[in-house]
Amino acid sequence: MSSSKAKPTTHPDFGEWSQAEVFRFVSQPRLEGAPFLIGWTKDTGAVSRMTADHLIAASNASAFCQIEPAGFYSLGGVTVADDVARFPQSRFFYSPQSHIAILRADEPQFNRYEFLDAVLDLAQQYGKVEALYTVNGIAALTPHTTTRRVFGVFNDDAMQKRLRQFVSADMNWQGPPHVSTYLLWLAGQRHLRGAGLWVEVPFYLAGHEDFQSAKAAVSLLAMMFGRDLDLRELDRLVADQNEKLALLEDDPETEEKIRALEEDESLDRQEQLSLIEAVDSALKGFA
Amino acid sequence: MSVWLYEEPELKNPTMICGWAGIGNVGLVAVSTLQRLIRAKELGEVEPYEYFEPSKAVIRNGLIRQMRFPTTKFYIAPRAKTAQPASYGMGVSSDVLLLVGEQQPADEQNAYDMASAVLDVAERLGCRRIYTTAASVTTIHHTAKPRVWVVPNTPALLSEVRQYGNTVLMSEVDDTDGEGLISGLNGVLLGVAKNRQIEAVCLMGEVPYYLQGAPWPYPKASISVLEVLGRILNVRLDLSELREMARKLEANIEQVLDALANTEELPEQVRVEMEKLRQGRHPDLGPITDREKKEILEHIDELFKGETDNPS
Repeated sequence: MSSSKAKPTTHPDFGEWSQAEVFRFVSQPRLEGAPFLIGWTKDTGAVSRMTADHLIAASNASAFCQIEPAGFYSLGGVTVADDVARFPQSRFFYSPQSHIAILRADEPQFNRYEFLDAVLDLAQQYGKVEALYTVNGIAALTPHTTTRRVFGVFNDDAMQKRLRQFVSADMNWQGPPHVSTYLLWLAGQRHLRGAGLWVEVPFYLAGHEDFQSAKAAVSLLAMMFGRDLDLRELDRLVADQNEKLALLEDDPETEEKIRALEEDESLDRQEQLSLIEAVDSALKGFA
Repeated sequence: MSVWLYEEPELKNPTMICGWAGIGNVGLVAVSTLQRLIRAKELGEVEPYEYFEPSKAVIRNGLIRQMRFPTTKFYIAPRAKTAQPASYGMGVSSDVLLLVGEQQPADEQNAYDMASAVLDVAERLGCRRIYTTAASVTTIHHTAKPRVWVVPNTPALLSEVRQYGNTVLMSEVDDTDGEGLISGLNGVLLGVAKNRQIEAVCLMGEVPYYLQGAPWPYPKASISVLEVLGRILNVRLDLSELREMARKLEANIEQVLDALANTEELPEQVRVEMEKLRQGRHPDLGPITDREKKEILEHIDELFKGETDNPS
């Protein structure tokens, strides 16, 4: 499945490789047999980005390649966030000590198929990686005080059998696919195995960084990959956030809503909105 | 750009007829109805990945079972052995290649690429004549029989297309002076075919301007297009199902107009125009101003939005 957007070229190092011109390499590590994690910068509870970031940090991974942004993102200027100019980035990292490959990417705005096809070209043709792993947050009517459940999506029976022990439940879904699911499906078409982990995020943390969910994802990946990763920084962030969230329970109304969620009771729309507002203002106050 | 063909049929000067989703789904309904009536069998499809986003994923028990994309499929109907018009579409008097597209590519480059991919197949199978089908948005009233606007891609075809019956050339429409625009794939395909010196004709069934944003098909225009195609292919088509659908839709439009007329906050000018539509006197009216047209469209669209959840 080569793309028409990138004309077939002969890369000096990689031979006949249809998408070589889409990439800018700074080094050429050997990825053969490595698990390959994809982390998207925008995600529910920032789970996908934080998982990639913490995996990069904990494994001392360094960037070796990036996807050229032209054709995939709007390049008419830069956006500014938190007073800093941002520019679309899709960078590949590799950790020699942990033998893990990671893509930390902004979701493409245009030519999504060509972008995903390029990622799979790198993973399969250049890298010959072991399998793909995507991680995302999924908003749920669950409180922050309970263990985060992880739902699994697989593109291959054997992969599912091997990893089923690590997930809380299998995902069921019919509707427009998330970019992660689309990527896994395209990988499956190439016989490249893949797994998607969907970590529950309390709905009132969906717009914040949910460190507990990120920790659940990183811990799970460490177990699945059989790697020993230093999670102390994540532990500190989780403890810090839990401390802030614990203060919410000083307000009886908020405390009542959280207790209701703990007892698996549902909240109506208005109650959900007021809980989101309470959490927003509590976490903002600490920002 | 890949096209999957399940076989390479040997055809003799086949005619290709294309229908894509669009205003009133005129082309899509016409060509998919034709496919059913002449029992054309699936021949292949255009690989969708570079043109469309997936519309639906099915994940069951943790496994990705299906990824659904809008389809663009080719169908083939070999000619009937007899040269006589076949009864009710059971056969056609020449080889026919059909293309049914559930969606048009969103951007111009992809539309051009798809037109090129489709024409590659047409040329490969020896097509020397192509018809595209679409809608023409006009001031026609919904109770009137739609005409079919015809635009060939070469002057050599002008005299032929005049013979199709119930057709109109752009130059025969007031104030157009023979000029206009065919947007989307139907137009692009005509142009790319012209560059390849392949004869092509666009057949556009008239759709009332106030229904162009309606969330349902407009079968009356598809019927007019199919009547023209039936004459071109020398085949009798049983359009009774489409006629019944058109009858139900017309009743529904009357209900919508009645409901709209009873809307209290309707501006007086719009109310007057609506009343004219309800009385079916629109063909005799003087020219409608752009402002009036805009106001009517705005209110019609609002009402249709409310109807989409409960179509008849």
